[in-house]
Amino acid sequence: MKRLRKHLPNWALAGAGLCLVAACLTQAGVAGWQEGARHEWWEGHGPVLPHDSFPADCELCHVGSKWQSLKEDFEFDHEAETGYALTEAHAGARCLRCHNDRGPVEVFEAQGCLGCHEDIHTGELGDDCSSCHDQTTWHARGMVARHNQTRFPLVGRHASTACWRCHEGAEIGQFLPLDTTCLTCHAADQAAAQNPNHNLLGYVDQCHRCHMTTTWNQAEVDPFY
Amino acid sequence: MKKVAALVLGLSAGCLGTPAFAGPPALAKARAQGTERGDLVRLELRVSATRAGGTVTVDRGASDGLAVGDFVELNPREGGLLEGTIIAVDPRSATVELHDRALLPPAGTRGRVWVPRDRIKQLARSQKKAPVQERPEHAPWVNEDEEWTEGMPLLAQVKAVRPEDRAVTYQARNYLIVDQHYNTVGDRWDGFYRLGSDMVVDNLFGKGGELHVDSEYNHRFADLPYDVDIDDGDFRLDRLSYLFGGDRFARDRWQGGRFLIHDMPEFGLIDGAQWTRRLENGHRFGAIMGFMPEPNGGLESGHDFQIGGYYRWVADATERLTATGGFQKTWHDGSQDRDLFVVKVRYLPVEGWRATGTAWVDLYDGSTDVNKGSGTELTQAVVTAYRTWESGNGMRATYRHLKFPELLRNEFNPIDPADLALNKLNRAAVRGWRYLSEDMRLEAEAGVWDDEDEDGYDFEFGVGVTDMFRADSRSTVAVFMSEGEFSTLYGVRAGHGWRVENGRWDLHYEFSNNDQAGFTADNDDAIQHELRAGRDFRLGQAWDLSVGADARSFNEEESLSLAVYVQQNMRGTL
Repeated sequence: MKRLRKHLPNWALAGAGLCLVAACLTQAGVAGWQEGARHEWWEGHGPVLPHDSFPADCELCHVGSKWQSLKEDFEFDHEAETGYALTEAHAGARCLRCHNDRGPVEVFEAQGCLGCHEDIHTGELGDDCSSCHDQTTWHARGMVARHNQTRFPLVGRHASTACWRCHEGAEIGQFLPLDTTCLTCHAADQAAAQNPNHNLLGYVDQCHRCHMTTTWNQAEVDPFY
Repeated sequence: MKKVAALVLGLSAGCLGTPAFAGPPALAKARAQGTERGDLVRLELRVSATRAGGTVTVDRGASDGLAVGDFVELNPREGGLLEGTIIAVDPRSATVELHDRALLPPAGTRGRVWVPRDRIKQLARSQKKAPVQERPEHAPWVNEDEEWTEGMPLLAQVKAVRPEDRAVTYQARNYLIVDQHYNTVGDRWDGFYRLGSDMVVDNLFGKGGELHVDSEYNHRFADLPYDVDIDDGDFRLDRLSYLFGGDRFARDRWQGGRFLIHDMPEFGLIDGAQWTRRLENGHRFGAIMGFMPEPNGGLESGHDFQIGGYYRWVADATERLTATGGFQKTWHDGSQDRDLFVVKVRYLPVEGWRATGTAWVDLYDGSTDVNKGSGTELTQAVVTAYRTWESGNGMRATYRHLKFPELLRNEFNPIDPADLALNKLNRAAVRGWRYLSEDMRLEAEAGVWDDEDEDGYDFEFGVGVTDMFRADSRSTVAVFMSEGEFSTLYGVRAGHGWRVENGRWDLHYEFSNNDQAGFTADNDDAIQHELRAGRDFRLGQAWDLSVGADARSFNEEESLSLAVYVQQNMRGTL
């Protein structure tokens, strides 16, 4: 049984791979799976991208008679034409990333960022993405200042420590609140402290009575501990 | 000077008058829509598109006799006269550079161009000589998708782009993130490097499916004075999935592989499969089955298995009011673990207040959940209400609630069983911003929190001014205070950022004092200075580069943090 559990992670990944292969093969190999299903979705909303307000000269945007392709030098002032400005990374996105056959773009836009982008924080950080991210890259900024709006402001050493040292899931966007007790992160430090020997003296909790949150050094012994 | 001469020539030609000219179709049209005077022929035209840089496209081109350098006049509906010169021509369109680049007429604006008569004649002769191509035979036109009926706008029902009509395209990025921290006391280094890549291939088999691959290599190290130093790295596969369906042509959506659950990200990442069906009224429901990778940097899978289902109700096709309920049941190494209900509501009207809320409710069974007993518990909730006004002013209120659920799964850092029943966190916050003028914005945020031991509050008040020291810049000053679990922090920060041609600069300074609670000695204040500088580079559409340095001085030590972010963006057709 132990052997089985040891190999389970590999089995799970293999299972995920199998699901992936099955999904690919299903679509690659099963002809006509979508026959008879046309226009079941959004029939009343018309095409992916209504052209009724576009110039009549199709060749301004399209290549000859190949209507599904746009010209190499195609430009479109999205803000002027639609009232919705595309800035930073969005300015370089492919049109079909938003204007596709998964539904009217207005519906996605109404949902805000989460209408198009999956929520890697699994709903736990709310929907105000712009409080941490801008539209240039996904790299979040100003997180130390943002942390002041929690019960554990980051100062000193805590402000110059990588997020993953406390938040185990930081690499994948998991920032759930932690137990703020010092020993949640510093149990090993407490156990190893020999000058003085903390365990011998009974210094096993309430670290903040002797230590500053900015640094371990410069501790002041609390005579009433 | 040349353009002025052309204008004078054009206007004088307009006053002289010559007999009409007969020619090929393009020229016949010119005669019908224009006038011919002297050595110049006037052709009517329209603006068909506006472009960046003070240029417009007009619906006349080389086949009408236009050439680079021709003079163009435009009459905007608002009145006035705009002048421009043709800088590029295509067979059926031309690009006009306006003399006043600040004024861009909208599409549809009428105008005229003056074309030399000799060029028209030469064009007519060449068109006469050109062999007439026979129109190819073809089958009768069939377009069963147009469904056009009388009275309907001609182009309102154009054929939707079918997957088989589209190319196989991809969008990808590669990135490198370096975060490095250094503290002077003890010469401690702390580093985290991330090298990642993600790619979405759309329409891989010409049937509208999507392949998603996302992976990352992490290397981390840390000097730990009282423990074994950390120096390790691991490769992680974040996404490897294929989805198909769920579009306007197929009501069923399938996804398999490793992916974040669609519609219900609250259920997390899954190694398995999901099926979703959309009903004609827009409602959706689906089912999920598979293993759940642990939510940490390793994404170790195989210990937790889940099945789940959900139903998403929508008020109408615009989906501005939705309500979703889902249930997830999990097993950890074969033992029953979590029964979780998730309920979420989204109310997102075009105007007025918007609100969203999500609640996680755990169902406990006293026989296995020994610390929580039996019954239900609201273990997590996030509720937000916000509004912005036309003036740009706005406010946002947020409430968050968290209690650790009792799990066998390795989801959180180890929690003392005795604390599990008591641990909680509530936080409510309000943020508002108001424009005092077009360039000046006040911002304020206040929050209160309480947990099983303490309570506290925080607030921040600041002002931001645009274009104060230079164009395209923003300067901010803010005071802040935060009463935390172990200390009270208060301070002031100032920032100045400005855009440059290929990115932006940011400078920040912060002064704060951290007053530690419960510290018995007198020196319980820690003054901290922080200086931060950042530079973003936008190198075309292909590369982004951000570098930043953050220096802190506190107590008797200093720290330095360096951050580098490089991203390569790619997109194309396969």
